[in-house]
Amino acid sequence: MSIYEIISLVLTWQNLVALVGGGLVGLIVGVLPGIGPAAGMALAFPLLMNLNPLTGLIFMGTLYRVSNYGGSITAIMLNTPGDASNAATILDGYPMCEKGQGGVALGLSATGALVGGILGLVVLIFFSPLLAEFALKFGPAEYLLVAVFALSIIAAVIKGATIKGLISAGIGLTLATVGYDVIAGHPRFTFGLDFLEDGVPFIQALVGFFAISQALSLSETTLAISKVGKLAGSFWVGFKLYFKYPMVIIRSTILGLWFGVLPAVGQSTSGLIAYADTLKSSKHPETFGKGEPAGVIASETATNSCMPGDLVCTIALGIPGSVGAAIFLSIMIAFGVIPGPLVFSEKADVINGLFFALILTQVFIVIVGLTLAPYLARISLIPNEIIVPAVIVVSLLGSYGIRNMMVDVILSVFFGFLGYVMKKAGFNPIPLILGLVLGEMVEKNFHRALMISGGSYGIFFSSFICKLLIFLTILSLVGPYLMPVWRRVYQAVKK
Amino acid sequence: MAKRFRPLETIFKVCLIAFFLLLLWMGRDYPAKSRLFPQILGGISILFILLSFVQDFLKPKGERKAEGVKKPEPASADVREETLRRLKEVEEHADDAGYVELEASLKRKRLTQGVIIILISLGIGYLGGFLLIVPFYFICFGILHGDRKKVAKYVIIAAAVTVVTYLSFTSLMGVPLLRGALWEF
Repeated sequence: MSIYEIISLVLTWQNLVALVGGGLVGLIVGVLPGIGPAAGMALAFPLLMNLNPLTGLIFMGTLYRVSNYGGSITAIMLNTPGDASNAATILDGYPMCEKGQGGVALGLSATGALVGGILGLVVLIFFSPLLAEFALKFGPAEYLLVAVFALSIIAAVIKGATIKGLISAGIGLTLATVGYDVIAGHPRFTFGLDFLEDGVPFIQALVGFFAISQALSLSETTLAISKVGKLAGSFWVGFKLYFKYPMVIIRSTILGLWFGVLPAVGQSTSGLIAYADTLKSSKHPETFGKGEPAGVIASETATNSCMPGDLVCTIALGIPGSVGAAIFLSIMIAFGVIPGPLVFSEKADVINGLFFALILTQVFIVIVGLTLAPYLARISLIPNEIIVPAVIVVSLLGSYGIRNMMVDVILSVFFGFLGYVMKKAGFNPIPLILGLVLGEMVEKNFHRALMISGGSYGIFFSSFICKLLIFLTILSLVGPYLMPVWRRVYQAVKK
Repeated sequence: MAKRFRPLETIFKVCLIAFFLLLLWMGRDYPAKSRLFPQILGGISILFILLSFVQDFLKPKGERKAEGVKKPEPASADVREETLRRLKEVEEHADDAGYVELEASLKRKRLTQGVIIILISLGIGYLGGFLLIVPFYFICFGILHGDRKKVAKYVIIAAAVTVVTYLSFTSLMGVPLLRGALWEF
């Protein structure tokens, strides 16, 4: 298909309405903590079943894409990621907001979505077969070690508290074992409670650990989120600032692309890994966690460049890279577009049209950011006595709306109290959430690897990729302790 | 001098050890494949918690305090910033007591109020449905944490948010927000 044919195929009024509609729904879904793209697509699908496949998939693809950006808005403004993929954005986005630079952070985030998304799409359109082929070399042992590496690097990012980060990841992985065992189907650690048989619900935990615990922290003071009481900088300042970090953009895009094509690791990991990479390569690591723009750029660029890779893996191999991608896969099948290597030739019009629409979506994100950012930034000036109940109500609604059960609200509140205590005790909940997300995948691959090796743990050290991942894991954990020693030796030699 | 072992952190870590030991004990009757992964996780997590205790013990006394002392920020024309700057200064000179103790007790009071509001709301939601929680939060937080002279403002905000929530979730999306133990709409 020629580019002209693709453009004329997409630029019909139905498809443009679907693009804008999907974008607006995605923004709302993304801004509401806990609902996320998966639930948003699942809720919207029954209303769109009768559309033609391209229009329906444009709506869903845009919803999926924009909800990710929406999640970064709450991550920056309320310290509550809309989805696990925005977890890294809060590390520096929220401190920027506290300093009154919410508009700048939103500008960085929207530009990250634009640049990361377009670079991701362009690269993947040309290199997707190659990347997918390399990703297929990963076996269960490699997947397990990628997850362990991801958890270790997140723990290492938490300055001065690496061991606490690892403990936090351990809690998350342990919580993921609650419910029916993924291999033997035996119920574990349910304490006789029926609602735990399907496991600890992720969205409810996310809402609790971030939104409720944050609301409790906010309720302690009489001020607003922006402690300086005024807004400095605007969306455009953020837009221009973004391009002053070219190396961060390049490195984060590459990391995002790579994690995008790894099935089941996906967006939740890429942002955090890119953040850790930027922190480690920075000349001013002490500024991270205090409102460093490079932190927001790394997280948002990687997450947004990861998303196209995630979709390519879903479309080309039929292996979803995240929960959202899994729902998108189901919707594709429902529209009669069966994922697999042949889809690029058999349904070339739909797939190419979808890719082009996703490029247009990036422009939509910038327009939305440009028009709404000044208003969204004002959230940080609302007094705590109004923002606290608003955060609690919106997040608990997300929690309640999934199964219409009060028990989910109680669970979220429980996790909220736990998250608050953890924060006060110096434990960061981000590794916990990542552990909870990756837990099932880690355990499945652990057992699969042992089955392949006949019970020998040697399989985890067998391939070159395994050895490399183990080396990187050790390096990420020991690195922070060795760096001061290395600097002292380096300075001594220099003198 | 700062303590090596912070009380809340230590209690939390001890609770975590108890939690992991409980899970290991619970898992002893599970099939071998079901218990293997949680056992490894539990063992490693307990090891890390013990390591964390060792790390705290080896930490020189007063290190935390030294890290916390920062240079005072330059004065600002903005009154609010100036107040914040002074508050920060007061926090940094915690040993002078007075202000910090008052601030800490106010924070504790507000947090306790917040926790009580949330706990009561769970009961209200269970009995009457989720929708009743919405105005409850706005009015309670407004009166207890805001300006009591602005009660009317909080009531209007509460009513508006409740109506929007009802219309968007119950009417449009069909989520039953008035389903409780007492009634069901």
